[in-house]
Amino acid sequence: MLSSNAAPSGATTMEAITDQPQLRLTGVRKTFHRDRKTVEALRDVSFEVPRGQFLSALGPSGCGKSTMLHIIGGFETATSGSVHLDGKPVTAPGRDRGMMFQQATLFPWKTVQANVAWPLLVDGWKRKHARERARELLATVGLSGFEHSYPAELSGGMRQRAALARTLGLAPDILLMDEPFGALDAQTRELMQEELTRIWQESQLTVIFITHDINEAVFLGDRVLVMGARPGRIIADVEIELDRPRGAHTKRDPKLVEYHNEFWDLIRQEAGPQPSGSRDAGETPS
Amino acid sequence: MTATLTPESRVGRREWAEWMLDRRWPVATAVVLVLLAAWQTYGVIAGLPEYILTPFEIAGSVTELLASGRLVELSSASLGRLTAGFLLGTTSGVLIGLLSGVSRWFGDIVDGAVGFTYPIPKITLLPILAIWLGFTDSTRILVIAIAVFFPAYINANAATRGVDQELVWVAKNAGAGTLRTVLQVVLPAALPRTVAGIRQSLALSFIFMFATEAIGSSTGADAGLGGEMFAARANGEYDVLWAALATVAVLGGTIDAGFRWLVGRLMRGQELEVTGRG
Amino acid sequence: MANVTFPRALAPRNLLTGAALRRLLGVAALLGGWELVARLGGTRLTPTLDEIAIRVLYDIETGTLLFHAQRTLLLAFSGLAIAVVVGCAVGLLMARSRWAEAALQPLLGATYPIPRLALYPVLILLFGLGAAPKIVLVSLECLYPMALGAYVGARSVTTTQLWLARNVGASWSRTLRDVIVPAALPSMLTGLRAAAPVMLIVIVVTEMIGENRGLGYMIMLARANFEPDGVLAVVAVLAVLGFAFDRAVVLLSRVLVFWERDVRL
Repeated sequence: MLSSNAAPSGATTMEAITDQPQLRLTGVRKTFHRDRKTVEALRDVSFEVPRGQFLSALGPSGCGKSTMLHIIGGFETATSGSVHLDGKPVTAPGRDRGMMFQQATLFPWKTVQANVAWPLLVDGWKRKHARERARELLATVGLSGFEHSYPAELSGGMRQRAALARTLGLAPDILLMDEPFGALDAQTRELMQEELTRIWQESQLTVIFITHDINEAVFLGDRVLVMGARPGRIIADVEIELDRPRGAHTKRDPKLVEYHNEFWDLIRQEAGPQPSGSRDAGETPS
Repeated sequence: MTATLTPESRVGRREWAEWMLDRRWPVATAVVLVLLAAWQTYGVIAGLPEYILTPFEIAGSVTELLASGRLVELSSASLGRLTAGFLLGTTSGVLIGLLSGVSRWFGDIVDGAVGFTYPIPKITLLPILAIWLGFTDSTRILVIAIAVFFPAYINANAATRGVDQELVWVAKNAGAGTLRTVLQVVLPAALPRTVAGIRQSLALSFIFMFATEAIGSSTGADAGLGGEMFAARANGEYDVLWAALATVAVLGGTIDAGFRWLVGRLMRGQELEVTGRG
Repeated sequence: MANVTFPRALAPRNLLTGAALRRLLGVAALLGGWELVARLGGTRLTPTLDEIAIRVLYDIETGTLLFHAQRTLLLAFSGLAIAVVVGCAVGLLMARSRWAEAALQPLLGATYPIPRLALYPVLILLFGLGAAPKIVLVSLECLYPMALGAYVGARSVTTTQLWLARNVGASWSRTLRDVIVPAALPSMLTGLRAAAPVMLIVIVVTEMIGENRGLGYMIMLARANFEPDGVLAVVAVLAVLGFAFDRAVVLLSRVLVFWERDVRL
């Protein structure tokens, strides 16, 4: 009933590749079976991301935003629809899409430097080169001096910095960030947001950033996708016109407050008319 | 966990497989049946040494020995000692464990003695007790009781000490006295782990039932399953050997399953949280 | 069954705390009680502590203790080594393959309460009287805690850790070596700590049943000669060995699982 995998439209000549968006989602749908019930996590999600854009995906818990990111990352498969990266369909995880999770997921038995060097060693780097590169990456995220610490000795924010360094070490085309600051305390979170804009501006990477924090989405994003729950879908797609480079001063920009109110109204409308009983109908997957 | 969620497209094709994998026991049962069938087939076609019986021959000798009353006699001698030792050991272990979990002073002293004697393989107490009391039922029961005491004590003690301090504060805050706090908060909270210790004791009591019969084994009515197995091996009565082995296995499995069923019935609310699913 | 509880050992590091002193008091009460009974009884049946100690020294001097202990430890560690290898393999397999888990996990659970010792007469028929059936029995018995430890440990690997490995493009064997095994190591060591005393018990029991070598045999020989001091001397040696193994595993855990600051084994 829903369209099967759509082939990439048009011929994929060299010119076409450079013209087309870097990432394209077409009619992505995801359903789960649990206890003989079907839960629709995502319905008809389609959007395109041009190269170098910072895209925030904003939504309440259960709107399928993480599932969407996992599908882009190739960790989960869409029930129908397709994901194309540079015109090629995504079927499995790959180093071209660097994934960052809510938990830093550092190996507690490796030093910070060894954690960052690990993906490089897996890629076949010489140990010495991997070590040097890891030190460079740690310097980028402001962790110089902590190379030989173990993750248990770091604060939550420092662990996420290390995880970011490790992900950058993959030399990815796209960064996929799944609420990476969600588990941090409020102050650390603000600092990490400013740090991330700085690093992103230097790297010019494409980023897809998942969050349920409106200010975070607006502050970081060139563009914000607002998602609704049950079923998970896109309810708004808004370009953010705040000046670059952004920093601490952006947080006092009155335009940020306007965006905040606009998105808050959208989310409230979405949650408002639903009777409280219907919350059980669509369970949140995973 | 996404592992329990199945993508829609794959359900129809693998529904039977998912059904089996979710429950686990159908797969395990199938594996056991296949192994038994292979054993039986190999025995019939290729032939086995005389001291290895096929499953059907074992079943035959079990029925035969059940009918003659021999298996019942042996089992009741074994189970009698097991029950006495198990009850003696676990009761004292749990009581002392709970008590020393509640009282710090008493607890530390008993802890010292237990920690000191824990590394002794308890079966070595059989010969020394045998010097004093002879290879009698009381010797065997005493050894089983001592062995079984340890897991019962250690778990009951750890369970009581491990009770969430905030639960105790809630009780104190509500104005509950010490006795009331212990009876209505500490003991119920310590129950799941204590029961886990008792289950270990139950398994251990089977090992020691068997070991105390095998060492210095006697023959006759009070030999028990363990004594009889070693006598049967020496005398070449392989049908008796295998029948006794099958009986030990069935008894061990059934009693443990019965214990778990009973525990499940008695402490429904807590057990569900401890075991969960998967 | 998954969380094994061990008794608090007499930690020598903080001997001067009140709790440690009270524990020492417990040990003293135990030994003092024995000594009192022995002195009052005054027969050969209840040897005093110094008589037991003298017997230990005597057995060491004559070389009998070393001779029998060597044999016992050789068989015990052979059995344990097999159990460690097979148990870890089985546990990891169960944690990573749903079919292996469905086939083996209920089987291990159902056979856990059945005494493996009952298989010993059959093992003797299969392998003859000698070292082989003893080693097999030790490894069978130690297999359970080892497999369970590896299983629980490998299951503690999180989905994100595995996804990270896939994101990085790590091969299956690389993931096993760099992610799954280190994550499972603490739990494997808990399994080893549970297996060590089991190993000693099983080997001694088999030596007590018809054998002419080993510490178990030494005990039975002393009993047959009505020498309680001889029995208790070996019991004391076994207790020391058991304690030493336990401390060794704990020490090993501190070294291998250094990243868990307060190793709660």
